[in-house]
Amino acid sequence: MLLQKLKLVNFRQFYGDTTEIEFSTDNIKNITLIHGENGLGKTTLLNAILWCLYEKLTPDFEQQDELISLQAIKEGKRDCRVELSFEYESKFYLAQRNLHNSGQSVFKLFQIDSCNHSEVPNNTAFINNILPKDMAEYFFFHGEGVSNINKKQPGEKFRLAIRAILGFNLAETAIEDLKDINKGWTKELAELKNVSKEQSELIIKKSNNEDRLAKLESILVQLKADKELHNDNLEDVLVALRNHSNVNANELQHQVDDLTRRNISVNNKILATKIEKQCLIKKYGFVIFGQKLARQALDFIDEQSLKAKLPAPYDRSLVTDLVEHGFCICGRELKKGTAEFEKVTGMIEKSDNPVIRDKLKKSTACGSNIKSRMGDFLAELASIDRRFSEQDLEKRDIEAELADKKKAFSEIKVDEIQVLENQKAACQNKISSTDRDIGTQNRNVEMIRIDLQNIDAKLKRFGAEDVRISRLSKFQSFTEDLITLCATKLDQYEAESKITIANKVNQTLQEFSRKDFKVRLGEDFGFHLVREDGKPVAKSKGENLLLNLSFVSALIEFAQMRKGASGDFLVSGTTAPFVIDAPFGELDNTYKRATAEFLPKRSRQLIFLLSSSHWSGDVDETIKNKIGSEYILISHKSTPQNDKPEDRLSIDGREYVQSLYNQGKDATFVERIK
Amino acid sequence: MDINEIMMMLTEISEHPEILADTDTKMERVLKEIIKIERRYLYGMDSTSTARRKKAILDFLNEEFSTKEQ
Repeated sequence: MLLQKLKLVNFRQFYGDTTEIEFSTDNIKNITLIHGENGLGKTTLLNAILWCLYEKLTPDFEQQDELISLQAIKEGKRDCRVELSFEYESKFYLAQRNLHNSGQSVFKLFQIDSCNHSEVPNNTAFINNILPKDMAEYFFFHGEGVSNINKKQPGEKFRLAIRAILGFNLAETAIEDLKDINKGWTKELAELKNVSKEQSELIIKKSNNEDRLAKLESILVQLKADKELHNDNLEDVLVALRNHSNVNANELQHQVDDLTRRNISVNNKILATKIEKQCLIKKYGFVIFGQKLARQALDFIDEQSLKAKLPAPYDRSLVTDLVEHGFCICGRELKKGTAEFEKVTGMIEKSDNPVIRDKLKKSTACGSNIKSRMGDFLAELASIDRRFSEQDLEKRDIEAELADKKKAFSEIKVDEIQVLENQKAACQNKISSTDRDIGTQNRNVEMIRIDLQNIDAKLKRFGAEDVRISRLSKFQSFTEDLITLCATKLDQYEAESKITIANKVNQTLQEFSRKDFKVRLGEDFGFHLVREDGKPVAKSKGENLLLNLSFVSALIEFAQMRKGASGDFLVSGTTAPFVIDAPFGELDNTYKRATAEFLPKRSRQLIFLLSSSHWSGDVDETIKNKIGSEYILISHKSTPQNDKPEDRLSIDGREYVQSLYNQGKDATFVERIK
Repeated sequence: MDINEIMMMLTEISEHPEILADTDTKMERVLKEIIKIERRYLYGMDSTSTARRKKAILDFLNEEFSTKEQ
């Protein structure tokens, strides 16, 4: 990093936007000299650089909350800005930090390519990579505050910062990344090992489930066998029931009952038929009983008619007339008492007359009627008899069948049937119960099988995880070896770097220090002065400052040496600026001269912020040929001078007044010395 | 080590000076590749997030391990 230009806008006493300092980037004339008496802004310039790059201020920089120019605030301005242009790795950058009245500062870093500004992402990391923040106070060195640095224990941050300058960043980031990756693998391994525990539990669970399944399947087999047995038993009972009677007793009973009902019915019908017959007989009784009389009467009539006796062949009136006349037709006299008379008188009774004819007619009609009704009677009787016969036959059949059924029913052994029925019901109950048990066990078996499938799936995954564990263990081991290798290499480089840096510091000390002591770099790059015997040396403030400057310049020189190196593990070295505020304050003239001599040699770019007290003829003489850029700070004050000093400084025969009064404003401006 | 052994070593070196050249172990080669990734992601065109850088390293290692396993 080579600083090119610093621009301050309303930053502390640097009011306005005219403060610009161009640093010397020349290889030979590598010193930028900025003159300024106390309070004019030298330390502010140093802090402006620190603040711009790191938002950091030196501890003795007072009123750190008041960075905006008071004069600007008076004029209503509410922000300040510091811009720092620099070159790094042949590229040009502009770092810019703005502070707003809110107290929030905004940092931006631009890469400048011709006229284009492209903002650099991760700007803080980028700056830290070039010059680590923890080393900033050494590169942007506040000489008057050296005692503060001296009191500090360098510590691990200091060591890491130096390692960063030495180009360890890549390898150290690699180590951190590998550790992170390994951490991830370790975590995964731990989880997988936990999983292994779960795996064992699952294996046990699987085994238990398999045992349960085997038992359940055995129970199922037994249940199915039981069911078959119950089915067989049921079949046996059913067969027994079937064999015991072809008819079911109940059915038989129903048949008996039915036959009985039919028997009663047919009996009723027979009774009805009998009654009907009786009625018929009653109806035709006269015919039955009169039939013979009628036939005999008709036969008699027919016979008498045939004999012409009926009706009598003589008429009653004739006979009566004869009697009355006393003469037979034959002429004989008919006298009473005579046989002829009696005979003829007897004939009167038998003689034909209308009454007799009427009686004969009626008798014949009656006889004929009886004869004809007898036919009807017989026909109806025959019908009734036929029906009766049918009913009687039906009754006989029913009675015969009923007798058979009753006989069959009487042959059924009800107790045995009841036993069989009970057995049948028991078998059916057992089959139902067994079916339920089988269903329950089937569900249990199904659940266990599902559980086993899940366990198998998990165990299968665990199988893959076993492979993963094995792989991860190898990865972990390999990565740990990588980390160890990288760390070993870095430690090796660090040790070599320490030797190189210590040699350079010792070289400086040997050359310029009055005392015969050496520097020893500790584990944390802490540097201590020791005697030949290794015992620590008490050092003065001046010696301490000399030691610090020697160390930082040696570091800068070492980093510069490594600039062209393109190692596989280390970041190439870099050019670093060395900005020193009051570099010679604590040094006596000899040490001032020595410092002024070795610093420009060791550093690619030196920026000295000097007051007249730091400036001496010896220093001037030593560095004047190396000054590439020179500025003086001029303070404008609004107050009258009264008895205050003008702070005059003579440079190259020209005299500069650094404090100007009655200027209307309170501000510091920079003026380039040509 | 006696003088004869040293002489033998020197003879061998004079005949086969290439044995003095550094040869990277497999581990060193992998480490250098990782550093290359770091360089690319820290300072190169791929400089983005830490997560992506770590992923790139992880991917490289996985690939390396896979090759190694084969």
